[in-house]
Amino acid sequence: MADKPNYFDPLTLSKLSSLLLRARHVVEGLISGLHTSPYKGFSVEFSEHRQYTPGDEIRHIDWKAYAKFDRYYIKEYEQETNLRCYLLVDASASMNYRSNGVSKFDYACYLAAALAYIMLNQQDLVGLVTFSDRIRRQLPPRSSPGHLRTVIDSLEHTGPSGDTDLGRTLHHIASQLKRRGLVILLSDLLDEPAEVMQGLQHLRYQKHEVLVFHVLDHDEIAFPFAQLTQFEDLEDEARVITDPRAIAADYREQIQQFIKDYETMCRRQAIDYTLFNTRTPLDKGLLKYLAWRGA
Amino acid sequence: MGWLTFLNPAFLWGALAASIPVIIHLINRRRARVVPFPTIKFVLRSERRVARKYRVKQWLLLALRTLILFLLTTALAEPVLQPTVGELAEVSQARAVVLILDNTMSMAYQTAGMTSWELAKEVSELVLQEFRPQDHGVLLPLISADAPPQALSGDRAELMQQVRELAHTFQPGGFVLPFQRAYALLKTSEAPKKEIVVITDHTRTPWVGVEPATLKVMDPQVRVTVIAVGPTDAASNATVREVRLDQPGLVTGVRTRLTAGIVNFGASDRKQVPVRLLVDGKTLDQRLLDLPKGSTTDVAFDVSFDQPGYREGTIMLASDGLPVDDLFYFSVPVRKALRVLLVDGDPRTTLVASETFYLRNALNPDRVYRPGPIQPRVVPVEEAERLRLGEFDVVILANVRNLSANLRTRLMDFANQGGGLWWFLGHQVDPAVYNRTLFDTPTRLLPARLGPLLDRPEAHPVMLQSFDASHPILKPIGERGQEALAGVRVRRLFAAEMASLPPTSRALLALPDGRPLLLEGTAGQGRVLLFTSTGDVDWNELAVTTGYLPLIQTGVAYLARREAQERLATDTRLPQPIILKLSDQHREALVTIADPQGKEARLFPQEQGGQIQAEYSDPRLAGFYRLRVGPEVGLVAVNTALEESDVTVIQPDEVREKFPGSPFAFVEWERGQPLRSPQVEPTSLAGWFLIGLLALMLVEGVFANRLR
Repeated sequence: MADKPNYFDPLTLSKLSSLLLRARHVVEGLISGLHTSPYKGFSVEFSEHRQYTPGDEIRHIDWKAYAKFDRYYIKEYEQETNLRCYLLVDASASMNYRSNGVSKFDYACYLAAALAYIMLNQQDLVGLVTFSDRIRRQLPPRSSPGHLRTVIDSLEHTGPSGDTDLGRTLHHIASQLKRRGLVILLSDLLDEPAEVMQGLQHLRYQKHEVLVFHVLDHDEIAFPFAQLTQFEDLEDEARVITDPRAIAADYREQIQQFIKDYETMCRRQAIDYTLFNTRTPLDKGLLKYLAWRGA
Repeated sequence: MGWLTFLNPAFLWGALAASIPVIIHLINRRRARVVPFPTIKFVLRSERRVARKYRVKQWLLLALRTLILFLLTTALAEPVLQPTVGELAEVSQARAVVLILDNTMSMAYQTAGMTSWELAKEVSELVLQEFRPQDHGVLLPLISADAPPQALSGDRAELMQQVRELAHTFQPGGFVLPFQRAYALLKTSEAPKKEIVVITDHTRTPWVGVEPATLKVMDPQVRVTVIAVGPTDAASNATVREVRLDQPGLVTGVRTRLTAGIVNFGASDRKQVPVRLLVDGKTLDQRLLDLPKGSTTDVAFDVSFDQPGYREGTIMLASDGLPVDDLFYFSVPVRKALRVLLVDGDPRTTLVASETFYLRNALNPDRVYRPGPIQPRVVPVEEAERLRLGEFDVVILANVRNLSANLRTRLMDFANQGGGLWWFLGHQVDPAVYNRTLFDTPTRLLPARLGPLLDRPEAHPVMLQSFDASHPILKPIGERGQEALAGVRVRRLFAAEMASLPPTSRALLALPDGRPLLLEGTAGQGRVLLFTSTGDVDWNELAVTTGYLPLIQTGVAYLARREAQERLATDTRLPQPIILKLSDQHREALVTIADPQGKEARLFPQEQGGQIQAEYSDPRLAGFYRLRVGPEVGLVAVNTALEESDVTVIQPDEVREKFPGSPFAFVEWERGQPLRSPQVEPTSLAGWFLIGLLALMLVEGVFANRLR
């Protein structure tokens, strides 16, 4: 696996880190706030004082402040909760397509590793599932500092292969995830959209918050081919010889409609959907997401 | 329809290039790039939906490109459509061609440094180059000194040589006679195809009179092809229509007005055109003139001539398209002024009462304004004795009482040297003294002995009865002047003794009783006239009649041996002959004429209608012709024909209408343009192929752009 990219590219991570530092300084608890959890966590963090009003619990009165100001002040806290995040990475053969040296699977792994790093830094629990037409690897959610290494290793030792059966796989994963959490799906979604959406709907039914990172190669979106080409499917024997210039317009129309359909359906299911082009620099893509998420 | 052949069939190998697009297509198909692609389901769907239509368009594009290459290579092979068998048979038939070549003056019109004549010769050679061995032809120039050809020739080289040697002329000419000759010549030919080819400019002039009615011998089977060269509608030309002099008899030092009428035949107005007057080659004056198109504009010059004799006058216009008519020549005969001494025997303080008042006015009626051709000087008798009579041509003595011996001697010397004397009598004249001192002397100064004074009653004056109408004095007066003289009433005169009349004397005017009123005689080498009455109105009414002035003037001219003499020849225009009007004394004289280039020819006087004349029938150049009749010299100016200066254009349809029923073609030829042959020849399709090629390339461009 010597050709595997380094997921901890210092430049990328330093940028992400700097963003986190900035976020903590400028907007307190932003990262935590982004991941609002249905469960109470361990720690509380002081937020502000406010004047006591009848009805407030006496145990919340700050006696030190009373001693100092001779007035009753109530201490208010913000709670930080630990997020349980499941990273679902599509490792089917279709994810192996690359037009610029970075395959869709590589790109999904970059994103997954970066997200795991961010979340584990916040003491969130991060789990990982890689799948094709079946679950290939599965790591339960952990928040220990060494778990990041486990996640990375698992990604590194997974190669894209096999067919896609995304809908059925999502159903299967949904039935296995017993506790509510954040589910991030990183896939090219090249399956029947209705079945995929039923799988996602199953996750939503389990009260999971679902994010879909739709990873497509630039060529799949722009279809820049110019000369007579024989296209072959990565997962089965389908092939066709055609002049790409003849079908380019129609193809682009279809792929845009494909993307738009997922956008629409995800919005209906309250699922966050983001499209990633593999030519978009990783950090930019992630920052774009975080910025959107923060908004 | 004929069949398709190629002039450069080797290029047809290039048609294989048409297969290049197909080969490229097949190679590209074989070398299709293999791309593993995840979203192939969309590719398959698009392929099903749009690729079939696209593929049809691609095949069409391929066909277009194949056709373009095919057309290109076949166009390079120069495809020609050969005539049909029937057409070929017609083409192979022998032709008889009459080539009418316009070499008139208007062909000198210049465009872009070349004259129409040079273009005409060029196109003539092109016409002759089409001649084949079986063809016959003949050259008919409009102007030629040679006898017209009598038969057609099959020698193309000879015809070519004739064209090369043919010269342009300054003559005018029309097509009527050449067409008549052409039809007559073609009538003698047995060639199945006959044609008249006319090479001319676009001017209307030579076509005047060309009508079926005038041609008479027109044959509708004869094809007429008119090849026009030179300017079509922007021609610019002005010329001098005429030159007029205010007074016909010019004398030295006398200023007169010369008016030139300048006509602009061009298609547009001309502004500020310089017009110069030259005399004997020297510029005397210049004017700037606006010349509206199609009209004549007068320009006047005041001019006087210092030298007697024939003067060469020229009006020079600024150069235009037709420079040969920008010079207009005119000859001006200039005489020395006649000096007449009037010796007044009865001068008065009142001019009108003086004896010479009427005489002086008759000799120079315009004296108030300008000196005339006769310059009289009035002196009393005493002053006359001090003057040098040799300075005068004629001495008139009016009512002189007595002449001193000195004056008589000097008058005799004057007469012996050829001077003229004219006596007018009056109340101071004593006939006895006159007879003794002037008649009964070795040199008779009177033509007759004077008799007694005849007095007629006031109520019954004598009417002038007879006169010698053929005499040089009376002839110029004309019939009306003679009628005026016939009514003159004479109340008093001296009778002349007819019995003593010398043989050299004769009566020119006489009364009903035969008594002479005017007598002519000789004195020494000179001539003498005697008017037996007064020169004023004291004794007769002659001075107040219309015949008085011409009588006195012609009388003085006669005495000075300068009687009115007609010019040897008048100015003319080409092609009019120069006719010299001669007198009897010139019948045997050596008559020569020299053209503007100095080429001299001898003319032979002949009598025609009672007039001796010599004719130079073939002037070919415009300019001055010098005449010599014995010792006498003359000058005549010849100018180009005015109608040849008219560059008005004739339209092709107008020419076509002159040959109803005949096959007709009008070709406006320009230099470098191949002559469209009237023959049936293979039709080149290369141009059409190239046009098709361009059209297909355009379609291909649009099509390929839409497929991209």
